[in-house]
Amino acid sequence: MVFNSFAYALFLPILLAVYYVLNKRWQNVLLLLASYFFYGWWDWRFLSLLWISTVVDYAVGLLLDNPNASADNPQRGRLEDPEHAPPPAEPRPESSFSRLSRAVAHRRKLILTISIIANLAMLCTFKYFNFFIDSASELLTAFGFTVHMTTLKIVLPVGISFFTFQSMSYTIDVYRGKIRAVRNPLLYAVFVAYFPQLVNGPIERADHMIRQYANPRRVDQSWIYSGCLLILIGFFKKIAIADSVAPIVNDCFNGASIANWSTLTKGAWLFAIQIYCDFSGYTDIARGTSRLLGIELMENFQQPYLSRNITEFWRRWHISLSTWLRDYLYIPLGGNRYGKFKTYRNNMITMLLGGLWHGANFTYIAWGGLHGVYLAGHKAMIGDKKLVDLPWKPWHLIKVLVTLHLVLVAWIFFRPTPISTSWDYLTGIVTLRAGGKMFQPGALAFNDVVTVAFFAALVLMIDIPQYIRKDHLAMLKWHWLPRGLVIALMLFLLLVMGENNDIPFIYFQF
Amino acid sequence: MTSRSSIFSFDTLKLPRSVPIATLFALGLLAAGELGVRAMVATGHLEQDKSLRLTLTSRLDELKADKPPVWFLGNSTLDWGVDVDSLSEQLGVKVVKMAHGSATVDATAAMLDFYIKQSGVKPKQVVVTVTKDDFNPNGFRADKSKTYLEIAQDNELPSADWLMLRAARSNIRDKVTDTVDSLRPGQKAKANAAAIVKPFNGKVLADNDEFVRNLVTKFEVRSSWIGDLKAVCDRHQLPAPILVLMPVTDRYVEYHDRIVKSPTYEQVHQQILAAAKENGVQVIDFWTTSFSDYSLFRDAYHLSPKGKDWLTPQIGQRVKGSMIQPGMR
Repeated sequence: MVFNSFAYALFLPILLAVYYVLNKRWQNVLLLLASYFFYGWWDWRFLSLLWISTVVDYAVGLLLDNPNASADNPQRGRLEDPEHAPPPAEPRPESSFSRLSRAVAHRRKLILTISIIANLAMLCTFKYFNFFIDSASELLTAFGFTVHMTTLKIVLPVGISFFTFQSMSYTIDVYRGKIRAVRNPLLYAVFVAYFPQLVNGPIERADHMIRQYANPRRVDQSWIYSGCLLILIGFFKKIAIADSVAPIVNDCFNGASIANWSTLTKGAWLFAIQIYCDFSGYTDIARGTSRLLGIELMENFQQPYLSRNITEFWRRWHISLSTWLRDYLYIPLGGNRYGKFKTYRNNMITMLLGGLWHGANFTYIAWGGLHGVYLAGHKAMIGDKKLVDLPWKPWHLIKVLVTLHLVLVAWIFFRPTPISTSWDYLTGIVTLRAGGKMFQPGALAFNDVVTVAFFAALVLMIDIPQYIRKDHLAMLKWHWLPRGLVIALMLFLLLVMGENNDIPFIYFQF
Repeated sequence: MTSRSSIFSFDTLKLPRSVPIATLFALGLLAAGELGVRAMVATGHLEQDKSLRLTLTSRLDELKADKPPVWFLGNSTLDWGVDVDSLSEQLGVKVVKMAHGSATVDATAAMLDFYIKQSGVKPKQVVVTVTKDDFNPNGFRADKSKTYLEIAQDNELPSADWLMLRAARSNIRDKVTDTVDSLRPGQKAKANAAAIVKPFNGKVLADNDEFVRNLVTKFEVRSSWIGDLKAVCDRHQLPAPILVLMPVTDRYVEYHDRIVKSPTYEQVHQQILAAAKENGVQVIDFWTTSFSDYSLFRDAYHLSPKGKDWLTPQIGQRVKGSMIQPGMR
């Protein structure tokens, strides 16, 4: 089931009506059943993957649980203990594990490895098997070998990358002693399957979510109002902006090898707008829906296109994935602790795998590689300077534009097309191609500029107030008149620009 | 009263202390906008968009009112290729043209059935214009034709937009665009110049040409659709339909043979002729003429106004003898 469907418009009110009159335990049961229904609506057979992931990682969590770890932190109890104090910000694995015998430590490592392999095997089978087979076959053919390798005729299960990563983070956190294992299977099952964030994130952490499932929910009018506002903003971004630009973008990318540079530039700009509004729109709807259920989801986007450098961009774009990659890949690889070269290497490995996470295609690897280069380049420029919350200066606008265009170039590779198409697209822009000839700067079309400016203005209308107040609900603090005008404008454009067909969210394919 | 729920209480249902004035204001503005647009449509200051529903409704009204004996059906090649007024004059009977954008032959047959069932009017003669891509069950046209097939299968008009703001949205957008353009000097002249149809430039079509590349996706020839068309006519006790194979440019033919390779353009032609013969369908054939007079075309396969003026009398002349029966008027 997708948020922008008639089925969901029926599903949510019915769910809320029942949910609001149940007690906490039955609310969790209902959430679990509703989540399975939500996922099974698309294809019930793939529910088995969710169940496998849930059972395996729940059991692994129990096997890895380290009761001695809590001795270091007497405040820390189990996540499901009602109202218990939050855990410390950083785990203390050294002191925790010092109490364990070598044999126990070895056994725990083995169990974690098995768990990670099981999760990655599921992901690789459904997402990467055919890609690796095809690539190997092409490589062998290039060297003159004729091979006939079998590929699988399987459909990519929606959201598998999201819930697999979420499950993995839980077992790794338990292994590291950052959290205690969850004993209540219902809470863990809800954690894996919670429908608002199941298929498109945010990729949540157990210590944030399970505590909320374990405690009674409080939904007052401010939660309902803010939830509805987030849902409205999400639908506005998705339907009025992302879906409206989608056909224009498709036309531009379909004509990658022949279109004028003006058209291609318009397409690149609009694709950047489309992918942001599509994905962040989903997150907004997920967060708004979750608020109506009394559960707070993390922010996944913080106005990324207003970033002043590429490092900041990655602190603002798909935050749940970038922090996941940081915590479970970049830092274990050594992070920035072993000199410049290894920092660049770790950055590159992290971004390449981050690119591959998005899809089994060389274009995504190229996208990740480009960002790896950007990050390494930026790291080389700034050295050890801290870049947190720098005050704004007028010339920072230039930095924003430079960062935005670097990101824009990378987006050209962020499509499941042959990499040659992306290359044609990029060269078309760089060489100012028009009418089959190169270096034709005069071909910039006024209408293309107006189209981009219109959609960019809609995005900025939402993003700038949020950026200034550092709050996705900044609009709630406005005077009623501008707030009412913006809500009216969003509703109007939703009605006028929305098409009747349900265009799926881009990130579903990941 | 206590509730078992951690969320629900009667306090939850109480209105907030402050009325959600911004939301009410926004909804009020929308309601005012809707009323305003309805008033503008009612007074003729704004039109509803030319939606499929509106088009079908007006056609059904026309069929019921005029009861035209000759029906021309097809897609954009018909719309741009045949002048229905001069054809009516030439044939001496009322001719109606019902084009459905990108319709394949099976969709055209389905829509013929729909019009007869919905209007209760039967034509004396049906003429269907086709090009080779109208027989491809896998291309862009087949995809677009799903809508027509669904309408015909359900035998119902597409649902109406319940908001006039939506029903007239294209016209609202055009009004805004016109207003913006009027602020830019010289823009109106440019728009007028752009509205003049330029003839096809005769360039060789690139492999991924945006106008034709999607038409030949997984190209096949479903010539049995001619039988479907004939079956609709039989079901309603109409004479066999006439098939007009529309002219295209040599660039279009060359593109087909280069990209599709098999069946070649000529092989497609032969398959269609064979299927027409098998079903007793008369063919008026402009197919084999690969025109290099590009002034007759606006692109590789759509006729220009000059081409329309050239083709219409030829079609009229070719169908006149075989089609007109006594008492048709």
